[in-house]
Amino acid sequence: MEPIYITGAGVVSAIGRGKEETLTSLLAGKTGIGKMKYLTSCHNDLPVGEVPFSNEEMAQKLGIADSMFHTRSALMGRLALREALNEAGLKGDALREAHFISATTVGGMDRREAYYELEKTCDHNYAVIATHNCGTCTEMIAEAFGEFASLSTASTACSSATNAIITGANMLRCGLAEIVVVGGTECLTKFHLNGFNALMILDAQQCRPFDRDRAGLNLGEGAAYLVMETEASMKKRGAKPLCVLSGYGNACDAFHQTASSPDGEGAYLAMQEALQLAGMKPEDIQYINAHGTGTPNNDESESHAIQRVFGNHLPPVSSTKSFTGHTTSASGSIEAVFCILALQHQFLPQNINWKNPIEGGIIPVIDQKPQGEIRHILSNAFGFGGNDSSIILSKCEA
Amino acid sequence: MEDLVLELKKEIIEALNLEDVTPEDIDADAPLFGSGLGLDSIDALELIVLIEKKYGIKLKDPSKSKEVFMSVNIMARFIAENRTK
Amino acid sequence: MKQKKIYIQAAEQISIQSPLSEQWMEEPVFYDEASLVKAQNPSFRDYMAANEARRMGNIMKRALVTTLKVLGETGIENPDAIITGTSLGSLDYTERFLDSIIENDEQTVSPTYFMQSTHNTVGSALAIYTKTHGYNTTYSHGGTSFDLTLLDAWMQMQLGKISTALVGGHDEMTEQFFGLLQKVGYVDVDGMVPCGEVAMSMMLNTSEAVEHLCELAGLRVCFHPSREKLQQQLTEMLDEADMTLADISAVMTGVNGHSENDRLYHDTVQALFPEKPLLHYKHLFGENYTVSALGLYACAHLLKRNEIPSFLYDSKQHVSSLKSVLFLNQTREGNVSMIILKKA
Repeated sequence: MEPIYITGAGVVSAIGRGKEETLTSLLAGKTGIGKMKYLTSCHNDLPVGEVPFSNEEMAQKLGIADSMFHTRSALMGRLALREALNEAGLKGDALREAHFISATTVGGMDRREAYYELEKTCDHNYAVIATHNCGTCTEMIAEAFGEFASLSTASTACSSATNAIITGANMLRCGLAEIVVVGGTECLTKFHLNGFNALMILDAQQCRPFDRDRAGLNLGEGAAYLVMETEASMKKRGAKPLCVLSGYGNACDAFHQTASSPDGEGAYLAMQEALQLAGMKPEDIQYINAHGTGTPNNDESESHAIQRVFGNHLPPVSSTKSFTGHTTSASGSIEAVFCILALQHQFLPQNINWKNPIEGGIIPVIDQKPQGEIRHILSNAFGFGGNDSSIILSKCEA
Repeated sequence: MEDLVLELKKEIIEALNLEDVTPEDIDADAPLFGSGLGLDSIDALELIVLIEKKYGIKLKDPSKSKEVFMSVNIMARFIAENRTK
Repeated sequence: MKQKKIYIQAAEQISIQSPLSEQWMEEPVFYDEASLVKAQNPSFRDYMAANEARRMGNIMKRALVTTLKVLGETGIENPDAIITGTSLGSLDYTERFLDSIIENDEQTVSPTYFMQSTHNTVGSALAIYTKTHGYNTTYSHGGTSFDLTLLDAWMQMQLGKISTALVGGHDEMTEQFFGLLQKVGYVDVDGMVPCGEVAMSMMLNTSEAVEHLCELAGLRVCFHPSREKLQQQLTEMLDEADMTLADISAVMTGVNGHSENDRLYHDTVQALFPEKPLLHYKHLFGENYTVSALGLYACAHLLKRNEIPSFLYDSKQHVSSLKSVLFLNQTREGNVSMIILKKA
């Protein structure tokens, strides 16, 4: 396919507020997973990857007087979007032509669950907060920056942000848009913390992706957005590319609502489609940023799928979820930003907290230094329900 | 024990929303998972919730559930031995 | 890029009208006194075993049944894509999970309610049930959730990535959430249609050879468009479809009796379609986030039958020769969709 240029990127997660802090943490191998500080829950012994800001602090940084009406996802989203738009120099008339696709699954759940017990007796204000859905989260993020040409919200659990990237790419390719802004946001909530806990897939320690003794995932939170545009648009605006989106794929595992199939069929199909669209062969990829949640099921299934696709041409693979935790709906775009940093600074994000290989599984990379030039990176995001998506990001030719 | 077995069958039917199944339909010695009632991993998690809620037994290790939930009779014996409610 | 033709091959619904049929065209049910009406469920047992349905809430069962009916009618077992729109997802199960978190102090909570609560479980359930490995995604953007599924399918068909797509719009309503909407003043306002529930599945196909209801001739989704921008979008859409404004036989709007809502439509109609016969649908299907799915379903069937029941008219002016309908969907947040359905 014709290349799509990424001209701006913004991120906020447990390992950094912005790309600079994020890069420092990645290079230092420093995890952001730790003790629960901002979410109130009985399960506060579970390690999580929280964004190191309270809602009030984020509101202050954004110049918002009253944070009560702003969901945590929207606050994080705005911070990340601001960084991306600033980098791309996208504002005013040009912003009015851009289409915004954000992803979230919890939406305003952090607010609804906070007031849930009061719902039957609550007043109009609380009711407003409680009706915040996924779409409202997107609107809340976007409204601070002007009026985009259109807004939409993707919601496919852990592959949401990657699917937002894919929808944006399709918009550019079929000529409906020249610029899109895509990504996702998700804050921690009691709702999904308890949900994952009930599914017994949380680790009581820092997660260990692709480790023989892995016991589950840690939940994280964060937001990240990318500005993507056509070559013509980029040249017209004089914007500088960070990297290129070369390919993408989306397939459904069609196996189970919360577990992946043993041979990772959906993942396999998604990765194959991405390679095909990019006109690439497996040996063209120099690094895979895996979904790698640290659950016994995902890492086994994903190992098989990757091995099926790459065979003897297996590049270095790692999961960065032992840095950030699993940021669910935002993970696809947060990890895309990590891949962009990896391309720009030519390093391999390590799979920290790994000790022993899964029998017959992937041995992840723990040494940052790449063997040669990193030109193309494949990034995976696999959601509940078997919603499997992959993207390929490539270094810009100078 | 018979009372517990009958009670357990009713609880299982309710917890797993087995609309068309009656206690008489469930063979107390038949496997619950795979064949028999054909339950799956999510049902196993629901049963873990059930035995904690109703009988006060906390099963921390999901892999143990395979042994405990082999059949209604085995489950009833486990509950009788370990219940705190 | 030359526009590929896209057809609506089949469409089925479960709503507050008689389910899985077009009986509403002959015997519409009007709910003048009600403020919240639940959908009429068919006998789900006729379509799936109790064992298969036991974990599914109403929204999922309705989505599955409308899907199975459409797959049966079209003979397509595995569409290239399954794209779902839902604003509230499995609201019932979401609230039950919230209840269980509070009642049990975050201790013994049900994994099933959580598992079925995320917005994409409906779309995934369809894929799991039909073993469809193709493209699968879910949009959750309030009142344009369904319109975005059409847009996604349309884009991928224009790009030649897919030839068939099962698109759906699904939303349920609970007493509790309705209570919140009441407090906010969005529903249960004097003169307003009741809140309803939505389940609608539709098969899109690029093949002209198959029997179909109508053509999906064009669509645009925008946000707070100026009058000029909206006019420009309309002109582009008509050009791409090889049509002029004169070819639009009628405009269907989402008026619902709520003055804030209706004003949006009134302004747009005055600006862009002052001479056109007007149709409406929410007095039949109620109001809910994805109800545009039901409006489009209605348009598709009336184009197929070449007849517009009198109770669909929202203007004295009637259509003399039915060729196409422009469907207009506007939300209070400023999202606007325009969709053209044409007799094929």
